Amino acid sequence: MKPKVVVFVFPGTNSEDETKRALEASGVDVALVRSDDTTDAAKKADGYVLPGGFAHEDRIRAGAVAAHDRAMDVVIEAAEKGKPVLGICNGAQVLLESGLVPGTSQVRRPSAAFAPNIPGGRFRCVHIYMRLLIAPARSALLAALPEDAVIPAWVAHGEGRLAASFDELAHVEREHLAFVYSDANGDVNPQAVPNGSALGAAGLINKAGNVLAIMPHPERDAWTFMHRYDLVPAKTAHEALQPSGGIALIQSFAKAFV
Amino acid sequence: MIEHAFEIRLAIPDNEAYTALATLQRLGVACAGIARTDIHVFGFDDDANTSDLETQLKTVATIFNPNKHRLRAREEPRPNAGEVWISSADVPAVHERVTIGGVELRGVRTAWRATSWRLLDSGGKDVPEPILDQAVETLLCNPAFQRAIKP
Repeated sequence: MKPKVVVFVFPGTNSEDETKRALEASGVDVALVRSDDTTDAAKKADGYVLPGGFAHEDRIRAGAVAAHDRAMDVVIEAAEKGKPVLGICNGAQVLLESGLVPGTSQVRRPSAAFAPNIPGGRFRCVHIYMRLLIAPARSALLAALPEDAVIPAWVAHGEGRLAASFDELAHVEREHLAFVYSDANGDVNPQAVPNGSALGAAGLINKAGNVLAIMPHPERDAWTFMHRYDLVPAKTAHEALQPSGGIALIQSFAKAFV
Repeated sequence: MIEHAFEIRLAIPDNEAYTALATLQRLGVACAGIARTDIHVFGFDDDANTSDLETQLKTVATIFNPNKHRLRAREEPRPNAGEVWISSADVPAVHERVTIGGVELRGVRTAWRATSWRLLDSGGKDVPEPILDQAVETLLCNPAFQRAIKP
């Protein structure tokens, strides 16, 4: 039997369909569930994904209102039971606002944030690479990736800069920094960081390793036609529909249930 | 350096304020109304002429639309009683020139912005300070990158 994953859809979510497609292609059953639906069907899922978008129109600040939605009651309870949870872009912002990631504070008392980009809070939509910085075995969600895996993806956000106190950043760097922006070869350098993110952070993980928050969208580089065409021009429709690098992260998440 | 503050408030229904109110009430914060205003604070050299700043601001289309906003100068660059400003925790940088929405603001050396929040009781009066503090802690401010400025 395939694992069942709920993709919560908040008012303003816009990436649920491509997230669902990438998950289904990776071997899980997916249900799109509205964020005000907390029936047993939603509660009994094996794992949860919070997709990208602008939940509640980013009112107050990105992820702030969604972190208090009833759906997050379900996600928080599931995370505490050890179920896999993945937040992508706006979903990652929600996870930080909910305090699940990095998880060093009380629930719904955030200790870090994906804050407005530097410079000037400008929205960035660019193709990037992110390198896995922790041992894959540290997390069931990442265990199927090779060490130092380099994942292609797209960023599309105005608020993706990791921000926290100096003490918290030091702690995050030691224990929670899962992905950093890199070039295509996996070399980490400031030019690869699209948003001024502290530590070059692209993704954080909680202590237990079952909740992952990533700002880039791997599901938007899941097939070759979604990859940068100037780098990998597909010559045929068959080539265009071949898996691309971003799907590896979704596949690794799907294998967390096996 | 001298600072001048301006508020830009919506003259049409404020959906963001309504969302904040509904969320705060769901979180158990005792309030019946809410008022939200954008605050822009500009720093000048002490001897700068600031007399036409309001006129300049009204030409910045990215922050002011005369059909839906009202702009006025604040008496002081700090919150009034019953009000809290939520702003970035970053210290504003000093620039030779400051440009907002493509408009260079003459004489301005620093610029930062905040969101002003006031919570109201059922009589339209400001709620007691502990209730405002509760709203700040539960929803309005993320201390990881923001600061709450009180009177």
